[in-house]
Amino acid sequence: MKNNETQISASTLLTVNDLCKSFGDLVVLDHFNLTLQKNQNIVVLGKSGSGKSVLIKCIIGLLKPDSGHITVFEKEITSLNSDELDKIRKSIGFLFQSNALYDSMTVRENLEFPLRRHSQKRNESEVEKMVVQALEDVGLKHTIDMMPEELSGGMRKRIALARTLILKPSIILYDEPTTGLDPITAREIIELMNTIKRKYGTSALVISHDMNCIRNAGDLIALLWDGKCHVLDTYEHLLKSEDPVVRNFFAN
Amino acid sequence: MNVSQGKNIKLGTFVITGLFFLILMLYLIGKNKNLFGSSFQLKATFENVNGLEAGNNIRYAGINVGTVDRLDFINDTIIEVTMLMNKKVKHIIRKNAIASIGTDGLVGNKIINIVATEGNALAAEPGDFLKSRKSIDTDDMLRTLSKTNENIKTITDSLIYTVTEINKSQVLKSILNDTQVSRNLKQTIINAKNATSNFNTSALLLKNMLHDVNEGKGNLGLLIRDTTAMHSIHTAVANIDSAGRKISHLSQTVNMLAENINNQAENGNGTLGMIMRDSLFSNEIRCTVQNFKKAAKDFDENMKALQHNIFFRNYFKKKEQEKATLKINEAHEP
Amino acid sequence: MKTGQQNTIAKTTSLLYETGIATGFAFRFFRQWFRRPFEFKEFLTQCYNVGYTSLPLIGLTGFIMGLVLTMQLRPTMLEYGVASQIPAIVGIAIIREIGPVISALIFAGKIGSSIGAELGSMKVTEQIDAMDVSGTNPFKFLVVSRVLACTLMLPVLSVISDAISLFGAFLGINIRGNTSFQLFWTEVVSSLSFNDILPAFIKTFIFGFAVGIVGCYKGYTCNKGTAGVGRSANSSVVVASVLIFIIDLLVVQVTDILGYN
Repeated sequence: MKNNETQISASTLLTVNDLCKSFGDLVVLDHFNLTLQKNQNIVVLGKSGSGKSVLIKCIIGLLKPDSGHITVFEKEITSLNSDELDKIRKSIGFLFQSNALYDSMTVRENLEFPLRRHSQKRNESEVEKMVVQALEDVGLKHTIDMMPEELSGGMRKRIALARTLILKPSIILYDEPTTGLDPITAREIIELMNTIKRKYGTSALVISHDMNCIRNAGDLIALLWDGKCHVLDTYEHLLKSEDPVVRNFFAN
Repeated sequence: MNVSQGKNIKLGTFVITGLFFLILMLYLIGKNKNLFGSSFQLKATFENVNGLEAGNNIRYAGINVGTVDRLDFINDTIIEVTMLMNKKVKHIIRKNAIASIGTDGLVGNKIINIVATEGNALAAEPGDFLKSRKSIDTDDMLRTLSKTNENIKTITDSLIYTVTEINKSQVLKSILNDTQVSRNLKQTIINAKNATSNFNTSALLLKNMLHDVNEGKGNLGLLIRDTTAMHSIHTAVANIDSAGRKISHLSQTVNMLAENINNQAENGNGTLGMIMRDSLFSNEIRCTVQNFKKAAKDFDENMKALQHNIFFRNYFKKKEQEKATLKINEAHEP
Repeated sequence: MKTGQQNTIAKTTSLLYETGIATGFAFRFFRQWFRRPFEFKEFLTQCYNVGYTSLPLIGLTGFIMGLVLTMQLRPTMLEYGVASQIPAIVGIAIIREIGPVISALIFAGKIGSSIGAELGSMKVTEQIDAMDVSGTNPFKFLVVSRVLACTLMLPVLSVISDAISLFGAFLGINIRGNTSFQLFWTEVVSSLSFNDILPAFIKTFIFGFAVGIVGCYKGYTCNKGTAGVGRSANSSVVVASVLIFIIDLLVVQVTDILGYN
């Protein structure tokens, strides 16, 4: 399934077409292609510094690609103005590698932030209900009035996830969700990711190099190699693959 | 919500405190410069404003009553000064008050002094022009002093000449020998001589002192803000001037008299005897001489006043002390 | 020798580059400033953080400056017999120069560094990106609100600090001598004019803007890693302090040229 053709259908949420991005002389993405279908989790696997984070930052519009197209809900991200981009972003959740919880705000304010920002017209009780719901989803309702620094790494990750979920996005982009967590917490987070997928029917693009995560969180695995999507297949198929690059990753 | 309300209250208090101080400061300065509050305008014209600037203070009897608002050229020699006066002094300043430009101390800022003059006048109305007086500066003072000095020298010279002439004339001598007049005249001349020499020294001293001040020597601190001392100097100089004029007038009278007498004596006719016998005329001479005497005494008093002036007191004291030591030294020498 | 030269050229180029980027950053501030929506709540929060919380520190330094200045001046003034001029001299010194500049320097130390570090760590921990993703213009939310808060709060701080300084000066006079508060106040006010207060007041806006924009720029363009955060906090204080003096120099010359001296 090398460089698979992009199939645009009603169930296609996200298409990345011939994406190129380089920083100075360093070419990070070189004609990268990927398609994400509805209710599908794709894990993007790659070495550190191979451009995985760059890929999802291009998708969310934080970075501007040098060339190529990114289509989300049949809209071209690269040509949108900031208002239209904000509208699209409402349906895309982004879980940052470092959680990116606002240190100066309580958990409640952190969760309220995207709610109030994206759509101003919500009454207080509705906001409160959504915040509580999102916190219940991640099992941390009691932390609602705590500051992020009072929480452990795993809790912070879950709060960040709750903040991502609060707008009920159709696509969630996970940037290394298990990095820096102990294996038990990592497993909890992965379970949570799967629960969310089942409960809300979201699709996800997961950036990771954690094998545990790759095995459990993804329906398909895309291997980012040399700035291209080297292979896109299921975990089981890749385990049996004879491709030297793939073997490199799945050796043990 | 409560926390943020408290913060907003603190922030509000903070900002309002800042604004309060700013506005207070601006208001006080504005008040000081008569920008706010009620004020009225008075005007005066000067030929030379000696570096007066807008914003300089205006004083009446030594109290700040306003500020200079504007300086405008009326033509090439006259400058109109618009003064912004505090409304509180409106009923105090009269139409006949005189404005003059002075200095706050010897080296301070320029100020306008408004001085009341005698006589009744209505209170000044807004827009009135006050009379102005030419300012006296140290240069002018010295010029006046040296002029007076020269005048007195001329007077003394002519007096000496007259006396010599009178002395030379044997007839007159015999006539005047025993009379009171001659003694009086002599005494007067001696007085005048003394006064003149006194005056000469004083003028010289004053000149030296002012020179020292200009050079920045001496106890500058004493002089710097002492407007009273400056005023006293002005008075003293004016007195000296008027005394000099009086002397000059009298000496002319005496001169005329002496010439008359001379002429009569030389002509040798009997008119002289008649004149001398005429009690009315001799009374007149006596009277004239007495006037002269009085003038000389006045002049002496003026000089003494100058000596006692706060400005010169230290100097003269030192001078006296020097004299005393000199005397003691002389006494000790065999 | 050649490497030294190349080094100098490289340094100069990087300095010019940095200046260009910073200027662009400042222009971006002005462009974003007028665009709706205005982050009023964040602006108020920042005003509180920047202004109110700095008051004790700036008030204390102002008080000490007034007190010390007076006590240091006193012997010399006595020697020349012009001790009565102390309120006038101290008043002019505080209002025209010491109040604004000392406040601005302390402000740069406290607020410049905190903005540099805060935005730097937000940048490093992707919080700025997170805001962008959450439908918020982070430049507007973080930079515009902070720069505006700094620009508007420093003048307020400076005025209060002036007042506290003058009070310190009054105490300084009364430690040795004896002056009534009314006389002191009259002397201070009569020695001042609008030309003393207004340029000094206006320059505190520029100082505040400089501290805010430098702190935000350094934080916003922070390098990855905790070392980058430290560097941005440090360099925002250094650059802001130097800028304060340069602006002070420029303001003096401009007021001189305009004749408001």
